[in-house]
Amino acid sequence: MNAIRYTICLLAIAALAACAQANSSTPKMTEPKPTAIYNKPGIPLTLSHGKRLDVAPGDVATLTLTVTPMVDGVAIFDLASDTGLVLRGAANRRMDISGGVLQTLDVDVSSAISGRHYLNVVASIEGISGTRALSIPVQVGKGGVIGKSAPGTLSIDADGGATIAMPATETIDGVVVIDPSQDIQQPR
Amino acid sequence: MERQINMEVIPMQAITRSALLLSASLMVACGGGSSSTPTPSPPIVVAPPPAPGPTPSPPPSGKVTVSGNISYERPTPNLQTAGLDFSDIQTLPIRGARLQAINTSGVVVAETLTNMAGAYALDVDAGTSLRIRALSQTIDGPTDAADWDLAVVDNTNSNAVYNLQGSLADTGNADQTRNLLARTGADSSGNYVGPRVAAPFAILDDTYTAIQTVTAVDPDVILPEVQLRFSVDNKATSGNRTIGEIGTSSYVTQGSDRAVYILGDAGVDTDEFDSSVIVHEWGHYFEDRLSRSDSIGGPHSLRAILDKRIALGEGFGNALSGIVLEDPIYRDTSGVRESRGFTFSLENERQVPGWFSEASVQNILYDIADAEADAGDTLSEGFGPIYNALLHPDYVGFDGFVSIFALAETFRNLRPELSAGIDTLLEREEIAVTDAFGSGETNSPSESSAGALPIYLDLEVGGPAQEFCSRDDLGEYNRVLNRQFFLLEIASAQTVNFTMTKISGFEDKRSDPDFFLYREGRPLLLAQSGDADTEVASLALDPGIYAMEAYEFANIDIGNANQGDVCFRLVAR
Repeated sequence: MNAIRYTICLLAIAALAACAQANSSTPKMTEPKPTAIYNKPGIPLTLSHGKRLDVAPGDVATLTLTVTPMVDGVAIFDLASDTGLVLRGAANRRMDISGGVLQTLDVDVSSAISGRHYLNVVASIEGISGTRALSIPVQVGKGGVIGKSAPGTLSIDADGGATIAMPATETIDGVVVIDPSQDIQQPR
Repeated sequence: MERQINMEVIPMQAITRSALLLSASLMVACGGGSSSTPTPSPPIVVAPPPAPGPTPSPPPSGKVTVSGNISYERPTPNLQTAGLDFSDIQTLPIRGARLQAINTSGVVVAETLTNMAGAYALDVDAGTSLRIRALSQTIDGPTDAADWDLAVVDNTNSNAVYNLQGSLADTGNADQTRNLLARTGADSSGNYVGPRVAAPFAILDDTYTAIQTVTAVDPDVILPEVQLRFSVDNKATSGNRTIGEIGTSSYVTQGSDRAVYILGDAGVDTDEFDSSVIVHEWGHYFEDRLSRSDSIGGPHSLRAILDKRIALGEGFGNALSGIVLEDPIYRDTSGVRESRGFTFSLENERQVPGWFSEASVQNILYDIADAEADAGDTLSEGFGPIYNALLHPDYVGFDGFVSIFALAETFRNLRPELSAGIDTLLEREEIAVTDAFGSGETNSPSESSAGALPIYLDLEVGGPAQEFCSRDDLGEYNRVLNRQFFLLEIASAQTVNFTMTKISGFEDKRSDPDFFLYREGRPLLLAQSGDADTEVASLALDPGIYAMEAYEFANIDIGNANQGDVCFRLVAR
């Protein structure tokens, strides 16, 4: 069974192991999967995307957004990227989602910058409060995630524990001795 | 009330209790030093002289006391846009956090916890160079009967604990005050122009409030260790969580690893200042680790016709956010500069009332707790009755799947004097006043009740086959009609053979029937082969009542193009 998302696999492994007489006609799923993912609330619309695309720098990748509506209406999709991914076409798309039928939206993107990019999609439905976000990954050439500025530096304590040291604004006896705002990083 | 909690030994991370005990006397003395005065937006101004801090006992000879306040910045909600207002910043205390003095070698030489005002005091050697740092971790103090260990960590950096770090400075020969402030890193318009230092401490503060809510009704509670994993690289895509592909803010159970993940994608969706979201997800942890969760998670909304298990879990999370934060409005911000968002009321969202609605569940639970007497709400019981019901053995060991029916029945049994009030709330939400299984429920969310009602079909070993359908009419994965639920009573120990076979639908394609068997919420048999049109499995069963769910796989596979209506026959022999 491919790409099963609903699993209670690992939780049940111990239980299954204890049930030695359990059997069925074909092997059960063995791939470790999340037991469950409890999402935060959102608008009545599900977003998903296909397998991550890998393209060469400069090549166009067609990303497919799958939309499963749960109400009738018009969905609006705001598309953007902050890592140098160039969007071909409008950055704002509309879709009639009446009828509750699963639909797809193709979006062409490209980038000359190697690394893992994401097309950010923020969906809303006219007349309904709220949004639902989805970031669609696309791998351009080689290289890792084009990340944001980390808030601090990773360090290992004397006891071996890992911490991320972040600069405080500090006053000692009323005198400011650290002021990170005077040495701020400019956003990329 | 006898409590049965599945507890485990909680290791303390890199801290010795003795170090805390050493500083206990100082903490007891910590009482003053509020840092709630609003702080202007960047650029920073020199802080006024520190407020009077704790007044510890005189330090031993050769020692000095370093004390101060630890605080963080939080933007306020913008009531017009439902986003955040970075021009109106609150400065709030970092409460209950591990606070350390570190020497030049990086060794912890003294440690304590900040108090409710964010204040601390440590006795350290005079004339030595050290720095003060606050960890984004809270543990119970030596005077707490309760036990907890919660840390906000960076999932994209080896789950390292964030710390707010001061400078290496000489302690001198007299007592010293060192105050640390975690800033948002944003300008007054909400553009991030510096490190987002406040983020993990905002998350810590919301969960600390949640912990205090629980300890208020159960001072001896033992909360299993948990991490809240936040990174500025956490995005709304599912994949490798160690690089930030977390899907959305969520509570995730994967084998023995259970953690809350929080979005951090500024300009798209970041949730560190969305207190409702933080507490909602912490609520899933609470439900999973202290009570019982049968929820399978997944996407949901107030309008969705949800599987009763999800309706309960999500409605509880929503209600808990309001109870903990003492705010009847749920808030979630997003977008450019977190300037937009959405809100909903925990009192009166009633688009699709019923046992399948997370809104109905939240309305009921919030009304049980809150002091406001609105339509049909005569109860003002606080969190206590909800907590006691969720942890009661009758609920945790319930034979069916837990839902609003099981929770309501537990309420009635625990607090008979509240039954009338609870039943009125149920009726207001168009939920049958019935037993824990929802027997006799008549509120069908679809035009045809087939598949939705009755809540359970009875399956009998050697009895007639049960015919049912798996449908996608109301959505996929976690919606009513995707699955059919069964109850199976075993009178004597025996091996039971289950066969599920397609009888109609999917005429031009293969179906993929699957079924699971549970005992008291624990999965015992996962029959989910890829066999076409049939699923067969057997299991040795002890006497008792078992719950089952059966479905067409395509209908619970998000985005699967093969979804549709298909009917099956299930027999037990």
